[in-house]
Amino acid sequence: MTTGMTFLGGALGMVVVGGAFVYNEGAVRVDVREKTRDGSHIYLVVPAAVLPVAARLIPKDKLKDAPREIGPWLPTIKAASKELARCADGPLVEVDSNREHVKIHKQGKSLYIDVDSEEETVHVSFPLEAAADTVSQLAR
Amino acid sequence: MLKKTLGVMISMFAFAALAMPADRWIHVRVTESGPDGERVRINIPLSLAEAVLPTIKAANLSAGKVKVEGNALDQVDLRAMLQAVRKAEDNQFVTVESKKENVEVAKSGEFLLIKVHENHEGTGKTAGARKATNTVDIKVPFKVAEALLSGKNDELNVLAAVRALGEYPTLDLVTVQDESNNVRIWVDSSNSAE
Repeated sequence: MTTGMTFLGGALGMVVVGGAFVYNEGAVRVDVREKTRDGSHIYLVVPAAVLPVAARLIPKDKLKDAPREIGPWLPTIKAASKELARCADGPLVEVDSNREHVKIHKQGKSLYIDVDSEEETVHVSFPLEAAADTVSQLAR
Repeated sequence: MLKKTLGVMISMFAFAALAMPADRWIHVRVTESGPDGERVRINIPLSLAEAVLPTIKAANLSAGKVKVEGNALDQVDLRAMLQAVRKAEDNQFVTVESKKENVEVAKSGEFLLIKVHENHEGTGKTAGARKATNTVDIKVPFKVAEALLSGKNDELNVLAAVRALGEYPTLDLVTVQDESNNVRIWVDSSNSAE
């Protein structure tokens, strides 16, 4: 086996392992669609594994109040996300009216938030563990 | 009176909701009447409340216990009263009847039952012409009430109450019916409110 092939094999292995890690961590999905005629549509998928790293890159002066404001709630957020990830799947909150439908439900290790109002539809989903990790980074 | 009672109950169970063996769920369902009425359904595992409550340090809540300010809990020895009622035969202990309101407090087996019926003039276009009735039914297991009072004199041990609540496979805790709202709070093993 040549050095080149060894290098290529190693790189391919890293990509596969990295891909498997990112896939396992899940993704944050944001889908916002305005219902007006010229309404915009925003669709965003970010690998959850990237979020805690991205949170570290935010300039500290932008987050100067975060430790004080988020810090006291960090144990609560961690305990809630850990327990939610463990409990059975199902709807947690549902609000229905003529004007708006809101549903927060848990499926697998992710939380899903769906809003359908007269103005827009919003779908947000994120892995619970990644959310707690990201908040931890913000509170540092 | 009805709104205050409802507010206190919802707050308490919201704390409980922030619930126990993984297969017990606390459900809150609020249905507003009328064509524009909202329907709210909340389903929270008791295990979640049990995990989260000890971590919250808010104004009067710490380590799953709520500190009651003032001397609201000093006026009456609630623990002794609860013990006395629990040991007594099943009976209706308190009955208050007036034009506007009827209140009944009774013991039935392991449960303390509180019923409030309010009568007042309707608020609709036909106000004055019809009477409206608001009812509140509360069913509290003595075990849960004792757990709630298991802290210091000026504390409500919400965490212990949530743990005690998890011992009941199904339990209707609160139902409120008034002109515009229908509220039900209950515990069971289902993860949905239907």
